[in-house]
Amino acid sequence: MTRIVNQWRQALVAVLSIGLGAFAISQTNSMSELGRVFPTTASLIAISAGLGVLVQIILRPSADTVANEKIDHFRAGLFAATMLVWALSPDRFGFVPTSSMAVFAVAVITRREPMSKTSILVHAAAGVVLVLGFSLLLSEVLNVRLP
Amino acid sequence: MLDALLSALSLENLLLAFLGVIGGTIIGALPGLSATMAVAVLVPFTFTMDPSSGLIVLGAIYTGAIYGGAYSAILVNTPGTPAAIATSMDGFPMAKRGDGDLAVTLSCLGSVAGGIVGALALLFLAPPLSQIALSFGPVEYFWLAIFGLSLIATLSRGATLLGLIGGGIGLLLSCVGSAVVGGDVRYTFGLTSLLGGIPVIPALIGLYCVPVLIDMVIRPEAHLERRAEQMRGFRLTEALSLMWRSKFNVIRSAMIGTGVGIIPAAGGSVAGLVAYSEARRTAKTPEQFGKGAHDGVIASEASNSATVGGGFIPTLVLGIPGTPPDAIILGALLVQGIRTGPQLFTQQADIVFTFTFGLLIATLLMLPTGLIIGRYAYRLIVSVPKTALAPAIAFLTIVGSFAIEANTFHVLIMVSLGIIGWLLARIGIEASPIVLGLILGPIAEAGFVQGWLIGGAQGDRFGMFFGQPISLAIMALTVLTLASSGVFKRKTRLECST
Repeated sequence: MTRIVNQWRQALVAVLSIGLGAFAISQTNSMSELGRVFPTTASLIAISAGLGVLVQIILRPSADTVANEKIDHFRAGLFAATMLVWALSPDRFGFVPTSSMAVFAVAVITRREPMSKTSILVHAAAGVVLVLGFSLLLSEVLNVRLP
Repeated sequence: MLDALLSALSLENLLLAFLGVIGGTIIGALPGLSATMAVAVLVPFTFTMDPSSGLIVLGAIYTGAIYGGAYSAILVNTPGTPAAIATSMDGFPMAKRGDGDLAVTLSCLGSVAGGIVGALALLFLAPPLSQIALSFGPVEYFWLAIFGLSLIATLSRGATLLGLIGGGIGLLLSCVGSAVVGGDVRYTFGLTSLLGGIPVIPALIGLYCVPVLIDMVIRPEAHLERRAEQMRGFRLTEALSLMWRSKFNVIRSAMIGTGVGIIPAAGGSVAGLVAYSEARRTAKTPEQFGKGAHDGVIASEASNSATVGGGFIPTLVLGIPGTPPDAIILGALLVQGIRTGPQLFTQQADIVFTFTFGLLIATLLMLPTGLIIGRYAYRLIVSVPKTALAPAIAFLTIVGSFAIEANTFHVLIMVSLGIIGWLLARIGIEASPIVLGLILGPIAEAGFVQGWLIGGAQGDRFGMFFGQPISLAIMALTVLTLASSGVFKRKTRLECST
């Protein structure tokens, strides 16, 4: 079973790589002769390696590269969504409010035990303190620009 | 020279060097806040100081920042500065198995050794070594980048084809935006924000840090293994013993770092990767590289710290900055009224030698400060619960990717590349080959296109690419690296089959 799953993964990698390379080459028509040399070379590397993986699956099917494990897709998806919203929101809602919310959200997503009301309040307060403290340190002391 | 040494040893300069090292180390340790930024942020404070003191502070900040990048590379798999990319390759696996404190101590010792070699080269060999910088043309840069890319074969750990796919993706990412030569607009899909290309530091943070964060969030176990018996000391004796066993690796890596530092615009990331590749090629157990090899951490840190002294050689002798922070320091020199050039060593020798001794002292001061800060950084990372660690690191990734150019689009690129990087890792494509392609792609392309044009104008393209002695030497090293990687893989396969 593991072997079949890994073969599917490798086949997926190969198809994605060939597809990406083909797409990148198709975009080089509008480039100058010198400008297309590198993108074409990079695409050919991706396509050749993808074809090589396909050949490897056929000739040496036991070449496992990735261990299978159970993934908590729900948490992974929530975290990715939080990060994307965090990246998109500071311009509209301000950096400190957005970051405080996002820091709290990441803490809640990471936590495995159920949270009591007190725990929620503590985490929310800690998020605000963390964001304010770091923001002041970075912007006032280190002169780093913040969103 | 004795006067310069005494001047560098004055209480004021010692204190400034000490504070510079601490400030640089802390800034360098924060993902996204590079050595360039550390120097740039703190340079205005030096304008009111006398020239030699100001230079000592800047050198100390730079030295500390390059070293500081190792902390986050080892403890959260995110190079604090691009110079620490190679450090994360073995430093983080060491930390994962509970040897993070040893990795931090090794990185400190390696940095100090490399920094001393670089500073000594600056002190004694600056004028002759600066000529090397002048002998590097576009073709030499091209071959140097190809040598760096050959590391993909080393990094792919038995899955060369997957490594090549990663390298191809990285090279394609490096093509996004305006072409480095010629100005072709490529793969921007009408987005003006992509004209400047994929920004390297946000991409680094995304590809290295976000996958670690996602894993931290989805896994129930602790971020790093904590071994109680290892929380008591610096493991200094063990680290010194490993350093002694790796003495040739230290010397070779420091010399590579000094040499690469001299070459303008190559920088600590290239030095670290080249030294790492050489350390693996010459190691007795190359199969340990990428899984937590001590030699990998030592090679990377010794070489990237040596670039500090090496980079000052062309900066001071020729007025050509070897690395981006050197360019800022060159600006500070001009503000102070110091004219760089060969005459600097005769007309204003007191300033140059005071600065060089100051750099040497700052490097030595890095030993106690680095060990103490590193120890607390390690204890902090293994002690803080994940519910606090994950949000804090996530916050720093957002700030770090924004801070370089104050651009929220860079934050989006960081997050997007991070999520893609995590998905790619799930199907077997690691971040390192992608990063190698992204960083070395523009160097290789600019060198290739310029060499092609110059060779065409001279009517001898073959001679241009294959007839220069430095190019031939780099090509030979590339072939050796690829061959040793192939021999190692065959040996491993044979061992597995018996």
